[in-house]
Amino acid sequence: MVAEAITQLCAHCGDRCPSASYRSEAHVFCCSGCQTVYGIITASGLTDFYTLDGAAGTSQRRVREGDYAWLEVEALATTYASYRDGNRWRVLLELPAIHCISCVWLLERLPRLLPGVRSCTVDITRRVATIDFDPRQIDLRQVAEGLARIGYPPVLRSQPTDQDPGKQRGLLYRIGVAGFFFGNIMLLSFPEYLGLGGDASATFIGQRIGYLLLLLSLPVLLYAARDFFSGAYRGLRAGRLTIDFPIVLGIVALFSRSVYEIGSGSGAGYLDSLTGLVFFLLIGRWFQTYTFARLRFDRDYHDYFPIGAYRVGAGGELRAVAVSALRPGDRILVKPGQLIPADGILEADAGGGIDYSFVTGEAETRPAGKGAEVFAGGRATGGALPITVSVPAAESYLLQLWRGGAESEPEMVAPSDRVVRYFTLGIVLVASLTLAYWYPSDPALAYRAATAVLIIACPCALALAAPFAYGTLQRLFGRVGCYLRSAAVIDRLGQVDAFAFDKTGTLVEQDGEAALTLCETEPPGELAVLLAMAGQSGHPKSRAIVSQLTGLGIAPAGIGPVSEVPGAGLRLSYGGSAYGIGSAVFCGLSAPGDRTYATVDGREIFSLGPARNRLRAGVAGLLERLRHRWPVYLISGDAPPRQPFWKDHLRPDRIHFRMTPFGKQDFITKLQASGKRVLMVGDGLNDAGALRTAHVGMAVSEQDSNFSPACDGIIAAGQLERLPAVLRAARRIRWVLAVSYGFALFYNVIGLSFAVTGTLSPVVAAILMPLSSVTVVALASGGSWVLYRREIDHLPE
Amino acid sequence: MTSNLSVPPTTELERFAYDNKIVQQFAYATAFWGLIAMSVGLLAALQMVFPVLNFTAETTFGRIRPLHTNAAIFAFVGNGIFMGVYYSLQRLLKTRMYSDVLSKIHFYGWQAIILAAAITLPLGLTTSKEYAELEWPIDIGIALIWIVFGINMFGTIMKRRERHLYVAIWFYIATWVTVTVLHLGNSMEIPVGMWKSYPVFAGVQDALIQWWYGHNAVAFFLTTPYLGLMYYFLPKAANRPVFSYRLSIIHFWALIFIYIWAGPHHLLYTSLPNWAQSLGVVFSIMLIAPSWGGMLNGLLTLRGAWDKVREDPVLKMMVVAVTAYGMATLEGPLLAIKSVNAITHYTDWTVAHVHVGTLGWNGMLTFGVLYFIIPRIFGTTLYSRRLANIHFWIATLGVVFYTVPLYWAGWTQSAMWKQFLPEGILQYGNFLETVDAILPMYALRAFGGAIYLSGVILMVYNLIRTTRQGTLIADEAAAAPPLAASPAGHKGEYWHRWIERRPVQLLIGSTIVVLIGGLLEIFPMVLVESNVPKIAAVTPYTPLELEGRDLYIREGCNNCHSQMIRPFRSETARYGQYSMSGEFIYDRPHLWGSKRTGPDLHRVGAKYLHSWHYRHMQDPRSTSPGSIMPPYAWLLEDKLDVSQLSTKISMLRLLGTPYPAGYEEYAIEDLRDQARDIADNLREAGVEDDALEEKEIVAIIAYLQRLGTDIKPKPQVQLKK
Amino acid sequence: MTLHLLIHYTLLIIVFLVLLSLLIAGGFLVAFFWAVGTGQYDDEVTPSIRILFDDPPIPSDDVEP
Repeated sequence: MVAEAITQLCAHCGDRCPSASYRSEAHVFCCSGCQTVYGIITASGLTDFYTLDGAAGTSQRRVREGDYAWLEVEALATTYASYRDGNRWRVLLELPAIHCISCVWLLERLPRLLPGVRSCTVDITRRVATIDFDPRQIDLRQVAEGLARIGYPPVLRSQPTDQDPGKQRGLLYRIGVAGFFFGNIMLLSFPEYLGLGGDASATFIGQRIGYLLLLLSLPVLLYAARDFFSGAYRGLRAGRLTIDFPIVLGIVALFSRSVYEIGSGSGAGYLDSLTGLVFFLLIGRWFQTYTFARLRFDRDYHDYFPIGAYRVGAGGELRAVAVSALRPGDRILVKPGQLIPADGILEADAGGGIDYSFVTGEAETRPAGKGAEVFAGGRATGGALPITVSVPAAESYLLQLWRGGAESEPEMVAPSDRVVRYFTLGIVLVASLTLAYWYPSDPALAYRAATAVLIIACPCALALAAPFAYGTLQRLFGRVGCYLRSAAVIDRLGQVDAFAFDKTGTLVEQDGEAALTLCETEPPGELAVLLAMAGQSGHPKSRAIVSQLTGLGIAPAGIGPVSEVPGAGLRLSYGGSAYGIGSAVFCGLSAPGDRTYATVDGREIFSLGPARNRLRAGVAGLLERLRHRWPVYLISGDAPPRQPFWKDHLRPDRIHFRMTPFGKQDFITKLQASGKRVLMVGDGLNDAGALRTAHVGMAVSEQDSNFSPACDGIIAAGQLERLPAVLRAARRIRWVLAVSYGFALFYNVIGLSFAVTGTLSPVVAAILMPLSSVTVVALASGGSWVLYRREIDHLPE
Repeated sequence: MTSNLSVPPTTELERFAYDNKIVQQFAYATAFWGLIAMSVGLLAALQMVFPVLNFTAETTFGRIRPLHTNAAIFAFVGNGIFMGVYYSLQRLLKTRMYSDVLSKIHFYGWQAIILAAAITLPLGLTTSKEYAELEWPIDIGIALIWIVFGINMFGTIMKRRERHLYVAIWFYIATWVTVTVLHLGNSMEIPVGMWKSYPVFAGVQDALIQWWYGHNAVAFFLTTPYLGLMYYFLPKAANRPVFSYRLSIIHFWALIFIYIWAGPHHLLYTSLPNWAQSLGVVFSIMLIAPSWGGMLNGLLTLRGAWDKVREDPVLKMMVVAVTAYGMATLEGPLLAIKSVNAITHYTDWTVAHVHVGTLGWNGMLTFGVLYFIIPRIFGTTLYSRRLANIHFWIATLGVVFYTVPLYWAGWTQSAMWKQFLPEGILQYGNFLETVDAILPMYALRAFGGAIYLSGVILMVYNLIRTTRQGTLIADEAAAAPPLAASPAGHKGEYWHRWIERRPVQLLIGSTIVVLIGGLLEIFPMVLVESNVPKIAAVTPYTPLELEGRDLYIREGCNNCHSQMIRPFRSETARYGQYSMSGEFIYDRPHLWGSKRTGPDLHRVGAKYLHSWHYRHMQDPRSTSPGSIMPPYAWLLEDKLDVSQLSTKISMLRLLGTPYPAGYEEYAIEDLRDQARDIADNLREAGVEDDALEEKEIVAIIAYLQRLGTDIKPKPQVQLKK
Repeated sequence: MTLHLLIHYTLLIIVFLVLLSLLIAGGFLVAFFWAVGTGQYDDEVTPSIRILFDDPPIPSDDVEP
């Protein structure tokens, strides 16, 4: 039986089935969730979903359920509508479970599953769906729940997603314009270079074409190149020489020189070089804007907190309201298992105490009595909690952590100001020297030579090298599950010289599914009752039991209220028998320590072990490699556990426990104050502050559809051991840059040798400038690809 | 909630039906005209080996060749395009075609045009401009039907139910827009009779416009629409998305921004200014990048699915097609490089190049699409996959057997043309030697064409059996949600941006306005300028020469004889002084030609006696043993039709040829005089024919003797002695 | 003089064609603006997947109430 089960794969998600307890007809499922979804999909004649792409479903054991009750609150629901009228709503929902062709197919057939849904358009890269439905037939909550039921639970953010693809458009326009005019101008200029075979016609046509080219170059100069001008200007205002400055210098020189030549009929001008320059630079920017669209690096507490709360009206009736609508003095009721949305004063004893693990990472729950102050982010474990709000949700004490969030606009890669300064001074110097040298003998030549210097020395290559080198590396990292929010992070990553790790969820793998061991005799009826009991409690253990039992496909029985002994366990007399869930002592069993037992009339039904923790694969090696070169710290919110498995990995004085989220943040701050540049690796919300403060903050994630706090990068849990390789690459990329700069310089010297002697012809410029840009781009991206692909792809043994 | 999950709603989705009838009609037309076009091609190919196959006036090579090219391009590929567009457009936009009526008009109209072409071309009613040989009434018909197609297509786009325009549609749009402009631009002609017209541009201008059209016809009729088809049918057949959709988008815009340019390279080393030539060269070379981007995108779509390809004839066909596209688009730019072009131009190399495109790219893709569409619209499966596979191999072999010998032939002949003896004289002074040398290759080519054709016959059989085993789903039911009144983020926002981005709009807008202005300003200048004679020595054609020239056009002599001597020693030594643009200012249309199956004729004037031409036309092999030129005996029999002479004269004067005012009245007398002189001269040489003056032969001799003599002492003078 | 005229005569047509070509290309540039502006290219992957599905989003045969 078991052996067979192992070999069988879930018909919905294709995972291996732990036990064969879920089967319908010929099919086996890994969990009841998958079984349900399979049922729905096949019932609606959508079986193609599975034929298109194997067992394409997402395992329901991994799907993160959300609470959609709030969506009945008009005020909340409307925030998700991008368009809304009497009979049509359009909403944009994040569905992290989207991952394959079949998902697109299934979701775009949503109208067949949910009456009232008109259309559903999926964006597979951003993992969002635009859903168009008829509010008279179905409401947002039903849509959300319907999606959840087929395995695509929407992620609701109290600030609706701003997945604005339009952000790119401005750049696209510019690239389009630059590309168009560059292409045409070049095509129209080349014959000048090739066709001048003493062919009188060439000069004749040349003049006329010249004016045309001038006209064509205007859009590029005035529109496509706009950013460079404004950039340079902003820089100057701030008293800095940005890379934009020498670029603008070059552009201006190119254009004015062209105007002069064409106007005076003395030449063809450099308009193809000008437009080409702008085009290449814009391409460089575009290459940089690459992000991992399906990931979010800028989450804040909004993404984790309930979007609504139950306010107790004057008459004691409950009304669901938006959390943002809560005012000090409002009385709210937080149901068991729900998060406290805002700081406030308890109006009754909290039965099982309050579980702050969500924000602080502490495992134990804190007891809290009537009148005690409770903080947003805590979870009611015992019965429902009546609370009087003392401060608006947004100002809650524990949420200070996320205040500010991570910078929304990913910064651009650019050469350091120092480089730019020297470079600019350099060319200005050369130009003026040239001018000074020729002026006495031949003023005309002097001006020609000087402008030529500015033209040819234009730092296109300089500006392109870094973006392409870093951009390539960013993509390489992405291949192995290390996603950086922007190429610029690599720069900082290369400077890191100290490390701080969170414990639980980061170094230590926590398969929360604590082992539940059933005794031989297991009448399902009793399990159903026990499940129902656990369901009424919000205690972590209870929740573990609920997930385990439902996982076994058991449905809760209908029972009366359960009596909960705070911190001890649950009791219920049902059908003449006494049910109990709790510690051995509580259940009157003479069994050892830290397990949780369920008994009926003192007979053990099952017991739940403590959540198992173990070091993630490869972490040992990781710590080994790191600690030899750099200080490595462990900062954890937990109490020191019994088995100190890291003893032989870390120096004792660099291990810190019972760290509050603020403690972690301060720790990083201090460390950096002492001149260190810290790479913080964490996972939970309790690390959010530290992650943001650190020089580089990396979040560990089980799978990329998971939530992770604001950070500079996300690394897949399984890939932690690649960190050293990533760091090495980030460090060494400078050599690639150096070589690229070298080449750029080399070209510049050649060009300048023409320029200073006043013999620079448009042809030379037209060949030399794109050539240098292309070589540098090839070197930068090709170089980093070739050098680091193997190193990053292949794990160190 | 769960309960009503299983109940599919019947509201809110619009039900409609795809029009498969029109697809089927175009599909049949494609197959049928494919057979015709290729059969005619085969005949033409055989005629080059066995001149006896030029049975009658209507079937001489000079009239058959344009029939072949037109049938292949506009009948076979044309219908293929419409078939693919009508099938994919409806499905890509989730809607039926805009109007069934327009669809029908489009279909029958287009077939009527083809029919008209198939009748007029053999009758010698032609403008002689390659790929635009059809006379003005048909040109108008084409314009009208093309516009009908346009309305139908854009109408469909307007009422679409899918917001996104798939890249294929962009290629269709580009096709329509550019072909419209090209057709109008190149068909500017003034009628002098129901089936005769003169182009408004003359000589170099006409040539340039013609090849600007000529190349872009290839670019936008044989390439862009088929790229569209590739981007739809290849992923569909492989059932996997295109390798990189982003790349395909870049492919389109890069192509469209510069593709329109590559025209003038067809005229390298002609009397076209270097400037324009270089332009053509560069443009052509630029095109390698986008073209290969497209090819790779197509092939990479099949990465990891080659097992599928091995099975599926449709995919096989498409793979070869895409590869052929890649080869052709690499070869094209190479041919555009001056030094290469110097060797290959006027030879069979060009013919081979073109056929890699049409047989390989267009042909194979069309077959693939047919094998894909027919079973689907008949709700069945292909009758025989095996036959299809055989067809694939036959077709591939056919392409090889067709092109390889011609490359060889082109190279050989070109080499012989340029071969000098140490003494500095041409080794093969007699053009015929260079023809005899490549006859075997011609034979092989005919064989290649024959097997390719047999493959098509196989396909037609296979498809007919397929249709038999199914029934046409004339209206294929479909349903889709309507396109909602766009919320923010779409049209509204766009126009908003449009206003808000005023600077750009102004710039782009003003640029375009200036361009239009430039056009309006320059167009009359073009005409006016052409009114002024440029070389004093160059005079208009005499009435007889004019009629002779129109005969030359009727018989399609320009299909085998160029009138453009390039500035190479090898050519000046063979033909004489190289051609100069000033010599062509009265040539309406230009007759430069693009292929030398026979020698260049620009300086043939005064080279031979009248009587030689007489005998040569009667039976080419009597004067030139081994010649493969068809006999033109009827020129000796038929009387010259001078009914249109006066109209021609006045029209030409209108266009700027400096015939004195009222000349049309007594032009006929000049004609008679000149005819008499020639006739007498012929009689002296022993030709016996009482009505000789009246015969067409006299006119054509007059024209041939005039050719290229403007800058020599006048030949007539010598002849009178 | 005549030479100049000759060149002029020949080249006018080229200028004519250049302008015409630029005009067409320019038209497509505007089309490009439209495409980007209306968000045609906001999603550069899913459309290529979508074309693979021909079946209607609801079975066109069923007509249950």
